[in-house]
Amino acid sequence: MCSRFRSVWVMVCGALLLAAGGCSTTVPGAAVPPPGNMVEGNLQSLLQPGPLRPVRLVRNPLADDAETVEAGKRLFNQFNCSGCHAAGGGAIGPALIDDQWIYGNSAANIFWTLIEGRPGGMPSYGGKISADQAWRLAAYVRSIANLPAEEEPVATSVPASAVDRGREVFLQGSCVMCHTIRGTVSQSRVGPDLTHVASRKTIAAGTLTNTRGNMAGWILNPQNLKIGTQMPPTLLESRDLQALLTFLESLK
Amino acid sequence: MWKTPIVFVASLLPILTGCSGPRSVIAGGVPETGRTLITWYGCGSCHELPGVRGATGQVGPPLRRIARRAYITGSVPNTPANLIRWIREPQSVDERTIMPDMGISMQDGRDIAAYLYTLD
Repeated sequence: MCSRFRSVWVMVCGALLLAAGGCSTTVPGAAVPPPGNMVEGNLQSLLQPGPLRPVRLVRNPLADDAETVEAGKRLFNQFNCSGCHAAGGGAIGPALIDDQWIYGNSAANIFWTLIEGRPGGMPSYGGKISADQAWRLAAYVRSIANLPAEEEPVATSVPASAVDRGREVFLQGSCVMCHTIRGTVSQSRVGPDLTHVASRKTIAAGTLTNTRGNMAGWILNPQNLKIGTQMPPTLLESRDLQALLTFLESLK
Repeated sequence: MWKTPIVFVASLLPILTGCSGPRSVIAGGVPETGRTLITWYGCGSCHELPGVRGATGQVGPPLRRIARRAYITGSVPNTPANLIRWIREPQSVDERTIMPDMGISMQDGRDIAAYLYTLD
């Protein structure tokens, strides 16, 4: 009787051990994306040792100029990238000055390599460096590799109706009281000229990157983001905000 | 005779409960990447987000402890699928919401949701 119970206990304990072994902790950067998410046409070499993630952030939001490159160079030294990449010539890690790019050589490719890390030794810097720092590093790495400046991505086509609706929201709302958009009736000089607002890297006097989300937050409640700003909060309905954002994004 | 197996099972308990350490509850979502994306998309312009620098927005609700909430958006249960759908296509959950559709991809949605679920 007793020995039968004991064997039951052994089986139960064994099952529990197996269950405990199945428990896995998440390693940042180790997630495997479903293959359906792959984007064709990225600048990826044929060598693909690990799963690639689609490149989401396609454009360096910082100015691609000497200042950015110089800041990237300082970061490159501060984070001891040379420890593995030997000033770009390659040692433990791959060379950065040749034309072999396992994970692609666009600024966005390099950005994500830095943030996520790559199999075989490249650590993940996600959470350790800011997005801006990663873009600066990417700009520097591209500069030592003598890569040409990246072309602006082709604008994704947005239905003209959405842009038109957004223009109406702008011109019929309070925006015209302060802003200029050349070619429209909006010609006030109180606030910034928004004729090419979509080409700007930042908004709110350089405090926010110019993304759809930041623009939304800025329009809806600017006082909270920049104390003392002259811009008043604008209360919009959902559809009007969406259209307005789409319109502003069309102002290249 | 009975003591041995009981002690053995008791000694396993810490191993089993060790599963509840910090981990993503979103399959295929990486919290650290999500944090970077949250900065990029500008979620913090509207929401307060612990652990994200500059995320002090006062347009939408603060997202501290969102992992513990029963409902999100005031209308749907707080499940991974609902949260990701809300992040990616808010108007598909509530057409009147002011939260903008930012064209967030499925993978980005997973990563962002994974970060939000670390806030508990």
